[in-house]
Amino acid sequence: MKIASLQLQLAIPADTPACQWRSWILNHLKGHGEPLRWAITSLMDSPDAGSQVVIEAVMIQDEA
Amino acid sequence: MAAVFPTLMIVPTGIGCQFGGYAGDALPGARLLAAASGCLVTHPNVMNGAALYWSDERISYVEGWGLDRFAAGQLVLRPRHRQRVGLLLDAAIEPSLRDRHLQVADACRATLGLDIGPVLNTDVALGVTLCQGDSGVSWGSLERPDALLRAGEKLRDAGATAIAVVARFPEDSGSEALQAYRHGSGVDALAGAEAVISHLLVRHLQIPCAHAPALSPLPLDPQLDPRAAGEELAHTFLPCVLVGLSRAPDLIQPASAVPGDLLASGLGAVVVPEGALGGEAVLACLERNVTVIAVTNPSVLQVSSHALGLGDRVVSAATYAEAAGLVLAMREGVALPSLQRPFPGLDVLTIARD
Repeated sequence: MKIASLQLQLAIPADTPACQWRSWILNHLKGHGEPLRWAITSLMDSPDAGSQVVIEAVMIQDEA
Repeated sequence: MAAVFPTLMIVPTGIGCQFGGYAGDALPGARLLAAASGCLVTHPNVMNGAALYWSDERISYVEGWGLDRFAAGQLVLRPRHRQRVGLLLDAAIEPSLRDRHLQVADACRATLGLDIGPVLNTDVALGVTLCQGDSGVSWGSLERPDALLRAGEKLRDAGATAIAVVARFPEDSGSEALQAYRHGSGVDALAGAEAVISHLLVRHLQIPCAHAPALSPLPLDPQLDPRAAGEELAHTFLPCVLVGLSRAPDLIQPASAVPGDLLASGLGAVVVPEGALGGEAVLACLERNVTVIAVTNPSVLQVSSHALGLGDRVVSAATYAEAAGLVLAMREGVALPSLQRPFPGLDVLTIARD
């Protein structure tokens, strides 16, 4: 097991309300390991009316 | 008084909140919310004042990873009137400082009647490292998470039902960041690594755990901010952790829930800083339509209700005193719009003719 810091910028579609963001974000994080701790640390409007979010996370990853 | 109104209070650690970004300085707000709600669930960053603490039967002390799982409906909280708190010490702690921590444990046993033990050193140093995200949020890591989990398993197998972990943190006594923190600005640089340590243990063992850093004492600073003072009264940060864990609720799988357990479906409200709405527990509460009370509590983050497009889904409070009033209103069944001016009009529906 190793612990790794991760910063991701994601584009959340306009038709995804904030009440669905947790599962949407988790789906994108799982490709990088298991999230141990994460949060949206900034967000801004996206040109397509969605949202650009920055996620900072600490991930559990298998040793290479 | 109406039945209890279970309320979640979150002040994320490591983001420099004006309330709660220091040595348990959100505790007064927690005490008030506990009185207003009758049942407050909160996490160690809110309750830990190093040498200072407050024990209230209405407050459930739930570590952050467990709290996120609870809010998501993946864990249930079972009240427990006494935990046997094992003490896990990082092998990197020097002997004299280790002795200070053992004396704290003994003092809590003799003076507070806490059930503490066994004690175990990790087999190798945990290797705590600190870092900061681009946002300014405090993060951190461990070089040897395996050693932490191995020691935790041994303590649990030896009868501990909760674990207080003390890791040796790197010294930064001359840094500008520490100076700023001691003077009431900036971010607690230790917070992120502390969260990683306790999150790993709770995730692995599924029992209450919390962390206190081991550090050398700092020289006297006459300009010390009152909010940081709790961390400079004694040789350790451990007393508050032992007290908090001593009555922390058990973490139960939902399928094993029994009457008396607290489920996320029973939450009435979550109280959180206005700019910190992007954490997992808050997003989980939004999924469940739990009322979100966003309190003015500046930090390095700007993830606000407006930025999230939540509009009137979030109730604003200028202070924790106002938030407590809102919680009390909800507990008493008073509709919140009736307390607003101008008074909102009726929501009138129409049926469209085909």
